[in-house]
Amino acid sequence: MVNASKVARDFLVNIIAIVLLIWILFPFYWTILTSLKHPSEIIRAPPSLWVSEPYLKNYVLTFTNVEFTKGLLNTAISSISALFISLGLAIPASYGLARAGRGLRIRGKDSLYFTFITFRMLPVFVFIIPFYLLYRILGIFDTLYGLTVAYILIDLPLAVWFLTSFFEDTPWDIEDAYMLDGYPRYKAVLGVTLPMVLPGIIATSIICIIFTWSDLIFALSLTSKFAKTATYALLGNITFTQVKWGELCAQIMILSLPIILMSFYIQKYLVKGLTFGVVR
Amino acid sequence: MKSHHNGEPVNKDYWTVLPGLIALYAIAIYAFAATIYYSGTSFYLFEQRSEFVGFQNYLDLILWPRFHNSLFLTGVFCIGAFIQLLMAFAIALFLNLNYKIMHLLRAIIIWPMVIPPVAVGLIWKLLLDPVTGPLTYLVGPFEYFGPNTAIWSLILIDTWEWAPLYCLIILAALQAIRKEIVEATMVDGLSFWTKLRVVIIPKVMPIAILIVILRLIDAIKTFDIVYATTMGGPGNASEVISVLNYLLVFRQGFVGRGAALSMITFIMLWVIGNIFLTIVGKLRRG
Repeated sequence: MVNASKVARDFLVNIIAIVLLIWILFPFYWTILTSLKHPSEIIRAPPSLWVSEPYLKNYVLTFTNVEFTKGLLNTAISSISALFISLGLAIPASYGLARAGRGLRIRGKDSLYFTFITFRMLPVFVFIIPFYLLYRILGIFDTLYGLTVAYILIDLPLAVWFLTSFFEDTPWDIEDAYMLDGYPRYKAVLGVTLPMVLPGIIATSIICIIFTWSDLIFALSLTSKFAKTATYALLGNITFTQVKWGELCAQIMILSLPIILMSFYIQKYLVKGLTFGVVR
Repeated sequence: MKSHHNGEPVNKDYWTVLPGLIALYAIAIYAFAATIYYSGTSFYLFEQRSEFVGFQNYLDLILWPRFHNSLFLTGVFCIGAFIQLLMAFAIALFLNLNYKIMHLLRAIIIWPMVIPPVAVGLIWKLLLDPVTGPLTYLVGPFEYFGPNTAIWSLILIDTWEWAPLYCLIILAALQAIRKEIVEATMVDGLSFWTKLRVVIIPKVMPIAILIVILRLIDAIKTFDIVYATTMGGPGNASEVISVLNYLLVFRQGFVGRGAALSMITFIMLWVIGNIFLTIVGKLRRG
């Protein structure tokens, strides 16, 4: 009797799990499928759930599509420059905040920390409208410089948000012991603390890249042609007369694959960082 | 241990925080000053004419049906986000079960939220296509982005994208809380309800509030998936606040009114954000 109810329970759990798997994965399956369909097959109703002869030309067209490849390059350049500048500012800031009152003399730690985080909660248009008008005056509208500055605004608060809780988790004893031995603080930090936080720094970098990589609103408002990003270029497949779904799905796959691969690394850091270390 | 600090000025260590803070403040002060300034003008993008109008833009907004509509839709979206959280909670309880398949689920559950939201919107636009979408197999042709259905379809898309994140957070919270609760419930002589009231709810509540507010802020800021699927249409049927703000400034050129709208959104988010940070502050202290 006990065995029978356990079998029933196992069965039910697995059924629910499979339903959830389908719910999560089906849209991805459909994207891959569409990216391998011939245009004439895509507009067929009802659609086919399988493709017997993959139409790889969608991918070939994607790589010869200058708007998209240039968009990818623009996304990569602006994301990575913004990341490095933001890390340069966020690492010392997070170290300082995490160490405040525990070796560093910084008062009002929480309110400083929250100042950084507040930026993630502001409506983007408070920034976009003045940025847009200023960029036109300064001549950096539709340039990667302008886009990078906007992306620092995404990265910096996010990086401080995550890194502070990662630094807080680092034991300080070794760093303190080094300094008691006469090493200056920067040597102790570089030699001991930073290597310990390195996995957290990598996770934070990935999270920042994911956010800027995914940005649409800044690119949409602050670029128009030369500095157009890949996400913006996706929308170029949609015109009044038709949607080039095959190429669009191929582009989505190319754009998403690198971040899906990176996502395996960040999972545990993401939860901890987002909840300010309250949830571990 | 801290003796090497004696005699040094108290504020010496601020240098670590200052560069980042100054960079953000420089941007923020300019942005706010400019937005407040523009919100008091009749700045029209395509003619570059502008005169000072005081609070006229704010008054116009408050009396503008299209703004009411966007507030209402954003509200609906927030309610959707709340229902989403309840679902996320149920799924988190499920993921907490000890089965092999859960490892697979936990590994892939993060995928919908790491890919660009605009891609999410476009994928679902394809999935929910009234004619060629795969759902026509199951339910027949149906207009998912019609005047009455668009906002609900968007909530569905938003659920697919964001519910997993909250599942993961709740899952982690459940695992953290479980230990403490198990310890606490060892205390004998308490009835189940007393334990629930005295032990479990005080542990769960703060994290629950934190998650709700985090979700609320993101729901109010939703832009990408709406822009990718409906652009606020048909008509104004899915025109949430951020989409209205974008169209107002960049399509119609009403910078002044757009700036006023972004200030109103700011005040809303600021109030919610402050409640949020107060709770986080309390949580971090104890």
